[in-house]
Amino acid sequence: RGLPQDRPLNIAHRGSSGMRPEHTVAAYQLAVDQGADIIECDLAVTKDLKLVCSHDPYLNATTNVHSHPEFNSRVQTYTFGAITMTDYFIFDFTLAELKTLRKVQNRKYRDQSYNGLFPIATFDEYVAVAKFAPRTIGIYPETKQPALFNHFISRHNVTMEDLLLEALESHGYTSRDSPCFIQSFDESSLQYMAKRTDLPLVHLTDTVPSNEKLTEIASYCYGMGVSKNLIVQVSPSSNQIVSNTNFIQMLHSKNLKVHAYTFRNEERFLAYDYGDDPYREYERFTNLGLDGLFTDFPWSLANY
Amino acid sequence: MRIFLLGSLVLVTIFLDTVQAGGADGRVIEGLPSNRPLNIAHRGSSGMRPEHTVAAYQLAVDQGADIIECDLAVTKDKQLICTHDAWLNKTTDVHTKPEFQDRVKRYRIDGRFIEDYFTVDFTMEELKTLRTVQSRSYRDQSYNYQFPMASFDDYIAVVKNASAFGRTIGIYPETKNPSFFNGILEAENTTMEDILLASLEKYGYVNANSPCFIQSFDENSLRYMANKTELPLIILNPLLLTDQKMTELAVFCYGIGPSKSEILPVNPTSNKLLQSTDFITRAHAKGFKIHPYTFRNEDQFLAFDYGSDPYEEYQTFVNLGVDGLFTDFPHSFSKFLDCQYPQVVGNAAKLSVHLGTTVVITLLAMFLQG
Repeated sequence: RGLPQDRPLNIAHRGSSGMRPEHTVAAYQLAVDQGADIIECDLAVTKDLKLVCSHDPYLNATTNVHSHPEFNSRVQTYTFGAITMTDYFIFDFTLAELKTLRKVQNRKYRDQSYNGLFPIATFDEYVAVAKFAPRTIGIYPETKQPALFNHFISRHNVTMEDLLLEALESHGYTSRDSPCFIQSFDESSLQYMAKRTDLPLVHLTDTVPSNEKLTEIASYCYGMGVSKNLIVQVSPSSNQIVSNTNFIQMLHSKNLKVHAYTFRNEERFLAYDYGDDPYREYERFTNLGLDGLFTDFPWSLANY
Repeated sequence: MRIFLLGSLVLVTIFLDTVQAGGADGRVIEGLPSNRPLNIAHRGSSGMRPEHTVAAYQLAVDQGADIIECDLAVTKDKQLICTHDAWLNKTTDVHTKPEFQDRVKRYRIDGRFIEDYFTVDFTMEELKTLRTVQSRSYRDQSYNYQFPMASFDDYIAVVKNASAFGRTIGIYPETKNPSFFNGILEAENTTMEDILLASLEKYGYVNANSPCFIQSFDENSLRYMANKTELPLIILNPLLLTDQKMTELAVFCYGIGPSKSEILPVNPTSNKLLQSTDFITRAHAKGFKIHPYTFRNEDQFLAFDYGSDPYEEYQTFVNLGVDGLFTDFPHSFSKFLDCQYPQVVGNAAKLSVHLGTTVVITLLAMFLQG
């Protein structure tokens, strides 16, 4: 409801993250100003059970935490999935402590001039950007690393999904046509939420599911968020397009919407066939019937 | 009355007979769009193909460029070849040819000593045995060793081909390093400029409004040609451009090809835009056309303000009033222009207007005769 029906959706991936440090109010607001339809956020849970927006559960890459000597003792080593990391982790900080940090642009080839200016955004601040926009702006929260966070907050008898759904309800996102898509790579996270909300769910994937799996996913999901390469195959050695696939048709035949990630303007992310032109990439994917695009550059997609 | 008319006609004829570059007179160029900026394919569609090859020139035409640009060098047998540098190693496979191993030489160009294989030590036939490579490592390497270098004649052939399909494609040759080449040609009693003008005349580029812009960084090269041709001349990146200097250049130059930063400088440490200058205002006031270089899609060439989006850069410069621009990616600029100027009559439509006018004149002539 309130979002364009007749054209693909412009989903600002981590806000306008090509131009501002990701997951900051500045990045979300810029995305809105630049014409995005939806602002996307990844969620993490703090020590005191607050939802904040961050792609990773660890802080060093995207903040100035290492320049805060008062937090030196917080460095810890954790293993989640196949990854073992030594870093500062969000679930070891309260929200008040996190708010003393400042974000940096973690991609060296992007604008460094906003480093140290903006704090981490909370989920409430993120929603506020959408709510106070002059037009309907969709939200697109992701339960990221839910198993990891749920492990650390389980003693409070609550899950990350519960915290999210509670927050969404308090903000008025309750019906199946609310402009709010909940996304996750984690199937059990989605299935848990499917029983507790009518909101549209989006199953993220970077591999092609079997036909049976797709039918199952279609029974409780609104759509899938898929890696670009599953739709247009690019050879990593030659950086040239190999072929289009019929993945979009497959999903559409199951009545699933298709949103693809991630569209970036920098030439290292573009196959040579596009002539280093992000608009030609948009063109190819929209011609294939894509319903929405996650992009770090919502300004360019809006122009297109 | 008749004597007056005859006298005027004689005077006009005498005036026209003196071949001279008309300078910054804003004349309309035949066959090219006049109400939107020109899409000048820099070294052909060099973002996607090895530069200065027929493949690059042809792709540029297919992608919608108005003009294909070429840099000239001179061969041992006084022919013109299209290449950015007088030396060959960077853009060809010359070093893999054992038969040319002894051609490595040291020359002084623009105050630097360079040791390499030079075009002046190869005949055209020998150069044609070489194959080109994409010299920029971040661009598509898959066309390496496929295409030969393009001669000036090959370059013109691309344009003539296009005109057979009703499209006027402008040419934009550059006399590059003319003092270096002329130093060698002196013994043969000719100059790079003479060779170029003779070739242009052979192909019919002789009028003040022919779709052919001759460009050079070398003011003397342009001054020399200004006395021998009416073709529009473009001075590249002129230094110390005082008001007086501009007036001086306006006498024989149709336009200026400034570097982008003359118009809109970028802070090199922050990669953010600084304040735009008054360059375009001043230059337009003198009657110059402005064609800045070079527009490239890769994010390393884009100020952060553009959001790594080449279209935003085009928009900014078009808003500042440029009359055309040199781009390595004519495909992108063509798409941009399609969106910005959807109502502008294209070349195809112009052709039908042309034909229509011809029909009317023919009918009129028949009527008058009758």
